[in-house]
Parts: sequence; C-alpha cells; structure tokens
Amino acid sequence: MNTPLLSLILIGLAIVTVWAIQGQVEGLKGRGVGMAMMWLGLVGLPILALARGFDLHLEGSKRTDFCTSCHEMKAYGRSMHIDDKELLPAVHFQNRLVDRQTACFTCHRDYAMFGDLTTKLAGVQHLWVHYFGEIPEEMKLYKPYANENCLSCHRGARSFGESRHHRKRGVDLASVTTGTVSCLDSKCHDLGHGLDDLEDADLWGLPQGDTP
Amino acid sequence: MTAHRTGALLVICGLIVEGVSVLWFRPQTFLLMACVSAPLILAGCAITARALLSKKERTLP
Repeated sequence: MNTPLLSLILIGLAIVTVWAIQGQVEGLKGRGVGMAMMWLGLVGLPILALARGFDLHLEGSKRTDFCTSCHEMKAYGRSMHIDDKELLPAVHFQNRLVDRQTACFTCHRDYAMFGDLTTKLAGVQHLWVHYFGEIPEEMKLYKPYANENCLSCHRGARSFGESRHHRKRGVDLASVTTGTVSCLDSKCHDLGHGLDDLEDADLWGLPQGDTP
Repeated sequence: MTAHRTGALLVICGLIVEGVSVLWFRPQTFLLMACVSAPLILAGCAITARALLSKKERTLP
C-alpha cells in the first residue's frame, strides 16, 4: 500500500475516532459503534501507526547515506569512490553492480528468511557501541564475511564461473559455493574497502563540494 | 483523569515522538522511536484496552 493512500486512511480513521470519542461524552459509550471506534482509534490505529513507523525506519536504514551518516562509517563511504579496479566495493558501487542507494546493505546483509531483521539487530548493536561502548581503532565485522553475500548475486552467473581469474588461479569454486573457502580470506579478494590507501587515492564521482 | 484519557495521552505523546523520528530520519531517531515512542504507544494501548474491557469503566456515567 502506498504512503499517501495509507495516510488518507489513517486521517479518515482519526476523524471517525474523534467523532466516536465525542459521542462517548454525550452518552454513546457502551454502544456498539462507539466502542468499536474507540477500540479502533485508541488501540488499533496507534499500533498500526507504530508498525508503519518501524517499517519506514527499517526501509530507510537500508540506505547508503543512512549508513554513512555516522562519522565512523564516513571513510567506508568514501572508499566506494576510490578509482581502483581491484577494490570490490568501489567496483560494485561505481559500475552500479549494486544499487547505489542501498550499496552497504546489499553486501553486508544476512541473506536468510530473517536476514533483514538480524542485520538490523546488528545495526542496533552499532548504535549501542556508538553511545555507550568504546569505538575500536580498527573496525571489524562481528562475524566472518559470508560467501553467501557474494553468491546471492554471482552464483550461476557466467561471468563468475568463466572468469579468467577464477580459472587461471585454479580456485576450487565448489569450495567457495559450499563456504569452505572464503572469497575474502583466500588471498583473492582480501583488500576489503582499501582504507589504508584512502588518503592518497584518486576518488571518482564524489558529490559536488565533497573534497577528498 | 480516567484510564481512557491517560491511555490516550500516552498514545498521543508516543505518536508525536514517532512522527518526529520518522520526519527527521537518523540512526539516533531510530533509537528514539524504539526506546521512547514504542513503549509509550504500547503502554497507552494497554491501559486503554484494559479500561475498555473493564465492566466498571464501561458502566460509569
């Protein structure tokens, strides 16, 4: 359901609720319609609004600018603009292999039934550390990067299976797909975001006014 | 103040906080919604529901 329509419905329900509460004052309380409207307006509608608010927050928290709005993540956001074809985050971002609006979330989410939820719970942990914990000098993932994050897009792709690099280096792709060999720890794609070179790197496509 | 009004007041406060957090969308406001708005709304709904279910409240003039 789109937002304007939902808003109209909510406003309509609110008007009906006010009418019902007014009715209560004049003795409508206890009657079927009045009680139903009170249930709807004072219990159902707020819970619906709360659920919708959570949904909006959940959707909005997938955005790249949301992730990089904290200063701890700004370097990671800038690393996606590094002009280096070896850096996977930069290549994926600059070539639109992932949606730029949700670039962080696409590669760092958990791909399972409750993947969105577990990812966002980890995000709440970030907030906790930000306010009440000690921010580490060097950022590390809570758990090893799962191959599934790569394979959810690359599995079965011709460019993945027939890649010159994958064939030349004799990588056992079956081990990659089963997760016994990590894409990142296998000395193949272990550069990560390339933050070590961020200071001196040429940057591509930075927004206007954002200087290196 | 009747239980209905207490519940409604809590709900309204919660909805205002939620509205602010949705309009001014930041990681911090997500925390605000989860820690302030949601408990207020749920508590308000629970108080109201209890009052609506209560026979005593319903038979008041």
